[in-house]
Amino acid sequence: MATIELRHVSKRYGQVVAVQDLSLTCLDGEFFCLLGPSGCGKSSTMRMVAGLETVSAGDVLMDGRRVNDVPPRDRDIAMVFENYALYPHLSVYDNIAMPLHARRLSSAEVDRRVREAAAILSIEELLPRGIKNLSGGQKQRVGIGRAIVREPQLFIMDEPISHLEARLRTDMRTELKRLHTRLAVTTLYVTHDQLEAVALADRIAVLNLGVLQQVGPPAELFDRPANDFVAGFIGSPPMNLIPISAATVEGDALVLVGSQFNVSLPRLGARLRERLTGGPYTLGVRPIDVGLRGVSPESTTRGEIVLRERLGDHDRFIVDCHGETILAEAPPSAPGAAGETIGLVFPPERVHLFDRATGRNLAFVQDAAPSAA
Amino acid sequence: MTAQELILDEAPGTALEHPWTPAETVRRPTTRRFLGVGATYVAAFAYIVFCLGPILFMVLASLKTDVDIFDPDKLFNFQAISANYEEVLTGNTGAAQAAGSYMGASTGPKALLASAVVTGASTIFALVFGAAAAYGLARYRFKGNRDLAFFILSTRMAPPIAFVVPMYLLFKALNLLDTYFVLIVVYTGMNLSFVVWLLRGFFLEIPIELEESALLDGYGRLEVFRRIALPLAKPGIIAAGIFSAIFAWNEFLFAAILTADNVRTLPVAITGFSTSMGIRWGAFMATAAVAILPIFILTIVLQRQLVRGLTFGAVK
Repeated sequence: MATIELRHVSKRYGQVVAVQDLSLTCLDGEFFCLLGPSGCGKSSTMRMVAGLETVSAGDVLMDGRRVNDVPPRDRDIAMVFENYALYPHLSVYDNIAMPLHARRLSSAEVDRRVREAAAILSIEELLPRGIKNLSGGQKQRVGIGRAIVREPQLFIMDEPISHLEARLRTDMRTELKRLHTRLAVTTLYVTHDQLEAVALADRIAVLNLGVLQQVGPPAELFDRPANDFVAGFIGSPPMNLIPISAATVEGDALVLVGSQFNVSLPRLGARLRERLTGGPYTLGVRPIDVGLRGVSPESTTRGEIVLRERLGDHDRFIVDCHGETILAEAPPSAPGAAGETIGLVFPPERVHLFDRATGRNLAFVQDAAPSAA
Repeated sequence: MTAQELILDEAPGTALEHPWTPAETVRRPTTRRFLGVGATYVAAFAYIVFCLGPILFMVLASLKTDVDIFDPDKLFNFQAISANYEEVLTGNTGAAQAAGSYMGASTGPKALLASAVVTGASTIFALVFGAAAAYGLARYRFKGNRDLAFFILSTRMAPPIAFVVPMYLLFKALNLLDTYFVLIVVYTGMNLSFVVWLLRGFFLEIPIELEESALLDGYGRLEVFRRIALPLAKPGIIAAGIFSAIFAWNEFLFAAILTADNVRTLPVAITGFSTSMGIRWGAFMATAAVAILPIFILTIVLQRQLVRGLTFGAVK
């Protein structure tokens, strides 16, 4: 097992910068997720760690040793590929045994370890078969088997379950987590699916356009997103992002001036007074945090319920607030039906205020240091 | 009459109301299809006769004496002899000498050996160098990669006859005329472009992840080439090998010019039966039949791989 460290790593393809000045550390035994939309540089980063791509600038370290120029075969990394990358001309058994043959182990030892890995993944009965007729889920189990059979320093998993159908994906996700708990090998997991990342990772690094946005445990990214990108990317349904043209402090309250309506947030004024940039801003609030109240004098923000969806354990409200669509989630017992006017409450401690120009979250500025490793 | 019967009864009635009854609409395409299938078979049979007819005549003639060959009554009804094949395969010209038709030595066994050596060696070299070059072109990014690939293809664009004189002078200067070496070099060179282009396509089709996976599994580049790329490109290698072999086995022009008595391949040897004393049809046909056989067997045995190789599809 190993610690992986990236120090000011960049990757350029000609004029295109795929990864820019990336620094992060993946701790020993950690399940670490690289998360971002396609083209964010997560794959390039992963490939540089694996040694499949050269590093344009900066250093990649494994256990403190610089490995920039170490060929992939000597890095002791096992990788699970998105498209499985099984050897089509070999049987399941030989696919799993390939990394062991490379190490010139005795055939008895190879046999013991292949069967052990197959047992962990319950694919023993597949061993003699060819890989052509396996299902997607079986193929990926074989792929994982080939990775775990080596007992490597590091697992790299490149979107390993994104080609599987929805139900199987959930099962495999659970299994991957169980496997990691059992083997405790440092794992670098690359995905574009925030749900997968949140469910699996000890820590997540969110990347966008080659730049690291934030690193932290899932709960931290969820509760204290460093910027509007992270806020919009993590969480389902996504956070409401409402344009705000100006913000003023009145007493200890913060008054936000939107295009159509104003919001007054008690207590926030004192906290944010020093950090206001002059605007414009984006107000962020998660659907689950939007409070729905009956209309009363003190409910300053009002909206009309356009749609109320019953989702079983909770209901989803689509509210038209002076032309701004706001999503809210509330228990089935909450009042309000389509067509009715309702009061909206934004709890000050759950509200995010992003500077529109920089995207930075002014409400939680203490955590908003994007390049902190 | 129940409702169900009523519906059943109605069917023929409605059919009669329309000029295109169900029966007719079925029959007419059937007749046409029958004619179509029949025509296809007739055409295919005619084509087979056209292609295989001469080969049948060749085989029949190779089993006859030179006198019987020209007797129309003995086209199929003749006394088969093995003397022609004996001459080709063992070099025994006793029968011809006894008949007084030929006094020289047989060129057959020597030509068979020459063709086998030249074809075998040039095919193996073309595959070894071609596969390595194709893999390099497919997998390594370097400046001028595409230009180099195109250059290799362009070596095939000029007619080979344009190179005959320069090559003759070149190999004469090197004192290599009439050796196995000269034909092996020329045939390897001429086959390389085809082998490289065919195999480059195959290597490009192998998902790069397969090789990356093997690299991470602990294999070096050469091992990845040997254990992953080569086995997956097998259909292409077989197709390239067959085509190289056919080319080298059949090649006449360069063999006729660059070699003489010392190394005489089958195509050149066959022309030797047309002598100043006349054409020795029996031995001529027997030699030609022997020349066809290896390619015939090779193609039949490797038929399936050949088709896969030429329709591509290294990895499904």
